[in-house]
Amino acid sequence: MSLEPQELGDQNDHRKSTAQPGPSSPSRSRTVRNVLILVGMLLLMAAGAVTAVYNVPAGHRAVVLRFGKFLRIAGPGLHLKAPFGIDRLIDAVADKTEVETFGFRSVRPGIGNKVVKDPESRKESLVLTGDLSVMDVEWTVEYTPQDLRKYLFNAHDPVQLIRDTAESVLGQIAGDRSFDHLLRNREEVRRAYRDGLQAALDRYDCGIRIVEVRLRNVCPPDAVRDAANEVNEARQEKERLINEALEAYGREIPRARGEASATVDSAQGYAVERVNKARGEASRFSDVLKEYRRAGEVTKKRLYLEACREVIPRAKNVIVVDSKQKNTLSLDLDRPGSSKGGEK
Amino acid sequence: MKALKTAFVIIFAAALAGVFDLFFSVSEYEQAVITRFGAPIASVREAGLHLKAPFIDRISRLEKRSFRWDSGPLEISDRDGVPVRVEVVARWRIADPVRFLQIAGTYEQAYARLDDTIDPIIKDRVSANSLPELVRSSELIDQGAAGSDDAGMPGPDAREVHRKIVPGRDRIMGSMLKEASGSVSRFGMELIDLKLRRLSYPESITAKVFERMVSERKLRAARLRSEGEGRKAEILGQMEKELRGIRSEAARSAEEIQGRADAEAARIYGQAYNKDPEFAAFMKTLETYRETNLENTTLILGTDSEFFKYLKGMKR
Repeated sequence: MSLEPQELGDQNDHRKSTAQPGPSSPSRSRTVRNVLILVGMLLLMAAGAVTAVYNVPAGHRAVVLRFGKFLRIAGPGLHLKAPFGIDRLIDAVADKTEVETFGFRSVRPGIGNKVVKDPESRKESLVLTGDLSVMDVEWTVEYTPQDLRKYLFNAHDPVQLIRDTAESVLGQIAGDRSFDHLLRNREEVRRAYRDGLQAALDRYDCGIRIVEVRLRNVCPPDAVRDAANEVNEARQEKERLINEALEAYGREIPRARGEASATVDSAQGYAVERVNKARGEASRFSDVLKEYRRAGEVTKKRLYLEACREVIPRAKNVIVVDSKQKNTLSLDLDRPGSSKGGEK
Repeated sequence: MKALKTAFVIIFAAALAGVFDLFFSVSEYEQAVITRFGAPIASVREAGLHLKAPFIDRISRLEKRSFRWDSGPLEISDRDGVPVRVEVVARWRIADPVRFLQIAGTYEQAYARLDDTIDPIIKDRVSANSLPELVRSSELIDQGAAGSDDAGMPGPDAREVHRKIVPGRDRIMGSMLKEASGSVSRFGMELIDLKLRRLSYPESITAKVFERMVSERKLRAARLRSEGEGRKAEILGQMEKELRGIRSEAARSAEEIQGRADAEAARIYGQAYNKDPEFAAFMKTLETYRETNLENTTLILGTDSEFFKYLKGMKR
C-alpha cells in the first residue's frame, strides 16, 4: 500500500502549527519554524524510504507499474522502486499451481481428501454425451498463471474465466463422444480435454497454462448405475462365453489332430507288417515247396506229423474214435513227459 | 505586505495544484475518458502518465479487461419439442469507451443491454435446432476413434447416434456470437466470445431420461449376452466340423493304407501259392491247426487218421 507522503507531512505541519498559536518573539518563532521544517523533511524522507522499498514473498511474483504502466515483473525478495506512488505494486501472485474442482468441492483440501457434492457441483457434473445420455463427471483442472501480465490485465476475473471455459470444453468433448467411449477411454478423453481446454484458453490470451487435468470420476448417474453395471457384466459374460468356446476349440482340435495322426501311423504300421508277413510267408512257402518237390511224400508226411506233435499236446483231452470198433481210447497226454505210446 | 504575501502563497498553491492536475495516470487494466464540462472529448486506452487540461477536464475510468456475462439457466424447447436447459456465458469488454459512456453509461446498464440482446438470440437458436446439433460439434462419434464398440449395431438410438450433424454446436454458437456482436457493438461493447457453459435436461424430465437410459442399457446387456452365446455356438460348431473332418480324414487314409497293404499281401501270397495250389492248401491247413486254440478242448481223432496209422502198425 502506498502512502500519501505529502498529506502526511501537511497534517503534521498543520497540527504542529496549530499547537503553536499566536505571535511569539521572532527568534523563537524562527527556531520553531526551523525545527518544523527539519521534522517535515525527516518525515518526507522516511515516507520516501518506506515507499521505495517493497518485499515480494517467497514463491510469489508481483507486477510493478509506473504511473499505471507496466514496468516489470518482480520475483521474490526485497526490491527498490520509485517512491511516492510513482511506481505501484499489483498484489503478489503465488507462483504455484492452482486447482479448480468441478462436480465436487474439497472441504479440507489436501487433508483426508474430504469432498462434498453441493447442488451447484451436481449441476456441473451431469454432462450430456453424444448419444444423448447423461454422464456424471468429476474433474479437476490444475493451472498456473504463466504470463502474469496477461493473466492480470486481460480478464477481469481469470479464475471465473477458467471455470467457464473448463465446463464449456468438457461439454464439447463429452458431446462428441458416446457414453461408452467416455466410460472406457478415459486417457484419450483426458488428453483431448487438456488440449482442448488449453486451446480455448489460448484464444482468450489470458496467460494461463494448463498444467494437468484429472478426470477424478467418470461414471453413470446413480439412477443408471445398476443398468450400466449390468451391461458391463454382460460384456464380461460375452467374453467369458467366447473364451470358453475358444478354449474348447484349442483343447479339442490339436488332440484330434494327434489322434488322427496316430490312426494313420498305426494303419501304416499294419500295412508294413502285413506286407512283410506276406513276403516272409511267401518266401517260406517257396522254400518248403522246393523241398517238397525234391522228396514229395516224405516231406509232406513229416510236416503233418510235426504239426500233430505240436497240436495234440495242447488239447486238454484227446479222444480217439475208431469208427469200426466203436470203442474209445483215452490218451492222457496232459502230463508233461509222458510218452505217447507208453499207455498203450 | 502581509496581504501580498498571503496572495502570493495562494497563487503558488493554486499553480502547484494546477501542475498536479495537469497529469493523470491510467493503469494497465484501465482505460479513461476525458470529459470537459461533462462532454466526452477523448479516450485514453494506453496505460501510463497522460496530460489533460487542469480543473476543467474530468477523468472517467473504465475497465479495459474482459468481463463475464451469464445467461443463467434457460429452459427452452428444441426444434423437436425436447425441453433443454442451457446456460450461456459471454466474454465482453469495452471497445469504445466514449460510446460506452454515452449510450450504456453504467455497468448495470451494459448488463441490461446484454441481457436484452443475447437472451432472445439464445432462445431463437436453440429452438431452431435439435438437441443432437447442440450436443455435438462434429461427427467424431461415428468414427472408430470416439465411437463405441457397439456402433453400427442396430439399436433403439442408432438413428440418433449416426444422425448427420449439419450445423453442430460450434457453428450454432458461432452464429449466435456473430448476430449478438452486431447489436452489442452499438453500445461500445465488444463481444469476444459466446460459450455454451452448460447443456442439460431440465429436472422435470431427468427421471424419464434416466429411465430411457436404463432400458437402453438393459437391452444392450441382453444383446451382448446373446451375442456371446451366438459366438460360442459358432465356435463350437466350427470345432465340431473340424473335428469330424479330421477324424474322418484319418479313418479314410487308414482304410486306404490298410487296403493297399492287404492287396499287396494278397498279391504276394497269390504269387507264391500259385506255384503249387494243392501243397499250399496242405500247408495252410497245418498252419491253421497250429494256430487253433485248443485249451480246454477235447480233440477227437479217428483211428484211421494218419497220426494213428503208425501206432496201429507198431501194435501189429
